[in-house]
Amino acid sequence: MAGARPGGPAVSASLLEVRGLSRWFGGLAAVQGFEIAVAEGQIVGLIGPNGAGKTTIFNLLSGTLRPSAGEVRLAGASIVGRAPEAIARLGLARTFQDLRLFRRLTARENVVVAAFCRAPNSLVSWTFPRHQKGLAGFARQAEELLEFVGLTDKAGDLAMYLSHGQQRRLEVARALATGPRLLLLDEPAGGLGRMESEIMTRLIQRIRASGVTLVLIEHNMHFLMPLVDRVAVMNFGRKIAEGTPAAIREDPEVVAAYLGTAQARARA
Amino acid sequence: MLAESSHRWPWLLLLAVAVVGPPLTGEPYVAHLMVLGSLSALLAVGLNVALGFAGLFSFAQGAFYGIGAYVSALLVLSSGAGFWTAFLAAGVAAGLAGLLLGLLTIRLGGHYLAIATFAFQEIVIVVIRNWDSVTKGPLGLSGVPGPAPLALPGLPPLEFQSELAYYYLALAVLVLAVAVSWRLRTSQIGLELLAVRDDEVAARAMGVRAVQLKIFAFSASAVLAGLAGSLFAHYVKNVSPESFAVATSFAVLVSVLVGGLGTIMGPVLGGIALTFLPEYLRVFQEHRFTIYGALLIVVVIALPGGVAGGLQTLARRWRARAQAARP
Repeated sequence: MAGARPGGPAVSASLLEVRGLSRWFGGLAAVQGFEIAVAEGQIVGLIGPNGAGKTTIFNLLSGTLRPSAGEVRLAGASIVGRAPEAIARLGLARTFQDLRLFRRLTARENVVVAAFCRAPNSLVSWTFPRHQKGLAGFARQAEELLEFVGLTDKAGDLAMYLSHGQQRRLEVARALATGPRLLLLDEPAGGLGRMESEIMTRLIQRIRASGVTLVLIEHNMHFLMPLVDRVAVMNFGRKIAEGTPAAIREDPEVVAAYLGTAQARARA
Repeated sequence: MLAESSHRWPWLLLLAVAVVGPPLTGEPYVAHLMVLGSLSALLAVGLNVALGFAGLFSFAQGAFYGIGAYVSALLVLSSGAGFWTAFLAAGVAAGLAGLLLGLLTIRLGGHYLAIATFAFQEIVIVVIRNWDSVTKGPLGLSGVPGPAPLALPGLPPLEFQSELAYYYLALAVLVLAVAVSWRLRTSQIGLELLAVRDDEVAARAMGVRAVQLKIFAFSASAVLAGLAGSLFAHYVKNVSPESFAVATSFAVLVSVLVGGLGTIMGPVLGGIALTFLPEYLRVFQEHRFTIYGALLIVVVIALPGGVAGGLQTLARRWRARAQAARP
């Protein structure tokens, strides 16, 4: 299958191509037959009611969970079944909805350790003194990223002592430090106030401007819709619609999933 | 840069006391306790690499200590190898045992790993107790020779016969181990280990090779225990299974927790303090271990970061006050 493309003009160069992605937990299908193609430079939103399988998809794409079936290609190369650390090295980074920072490390250390993603294997190199000097470059990148997300003055604070909004931004800086081509943001505005949401919006726009492709999970439609080029809608582990934000708002199946149809309500 | 900056003077002070203190007392018994204290500290520094840096709960430190002691003693007794060869072999043997156990069990999370290491600890002791033809069973090995004098160019040969001389040997190894652990903590590998300790899922998603690193930390901790075991065997000259039983593993764990988990200095302080404490409690006679236990509980409750953590907090407060006083 790999590399057996027919001649002629290349198929649209999607950075991320997902086909038939499924994951069962026992008899329960958390995700079933999920498909999506994300072109380089796009921002795609992933929405759906709670339990629809959005975060599971992020876990499957990033290697945190192994898919039961399906194909995932990043820049044409299959990444299904690879370890999460290998996938991160191939240029796919993510944040976590439930904020999984390194709590007892400083903000700076959180970012530096992610930047090491691009350093040689530490087990091979740690004994060589020359190596220590090489690490200074990663520390400098970390400072730049902290400035990028507006956390320079918090660099020396332990991650656990940052405010919720600051922790969300630190998650973004940490993911960016791995040098991703594709960044998956899981509810970046979750639990944020209006001011902090606006800061996050601008941050995401600047990330896109820097050439990173993004997929966002978000419940807050006021936050999501103006940001994204396309939206994919999930319900009960399946994709039920995909299109521009305007088209999605009008889609009867989407409206039903969110608001319930008269029939569904009668059945309940 | 990567680790919190730390002052040098507490280390120099501690080292000066460690070097000058025992001979000043003029008592061989103090030097004897300092040998045992240094070995406990070495075991604690080792466990701290696994537990403090990587968050790996291990109850097998006593078993690695025993593997080091028996390998070293047997090598010298049976093949006539020199102490230094045996010393290095003890580190390698314990490290290989750690690597093997790590490869088999490291994927187990938290409590399961602790149980697996506990089982390994028990298995090692059962093997030592019952492999009569090699280990002489419960009787143990006796007549283990001390190290031969070390001839250094341009110096009179170094003897290790007296308690004091042996103490300096143990201290040198301890200083080396602390230096390695410091280097580890402040390098890329150290920061990656701490990330794995705090959140393994997130660390892996950020590209950290968590499994390899954990196996490495676990093996490194076993190497230090093995070296301590060799030093122990050639000091006490008799090795028997009970020195390496699970009680030893617990004692190491307690000294790391009391000293300060994850700090560099804590395990050293903990190992030495918990060797001396029972001696100084002898005045209380039969109540000695009751008081010992009560003291441990107080320390763990009052100082969740251990003694080293408490000292750091104190230093931070003092610095903040000094800063506030400045106009």
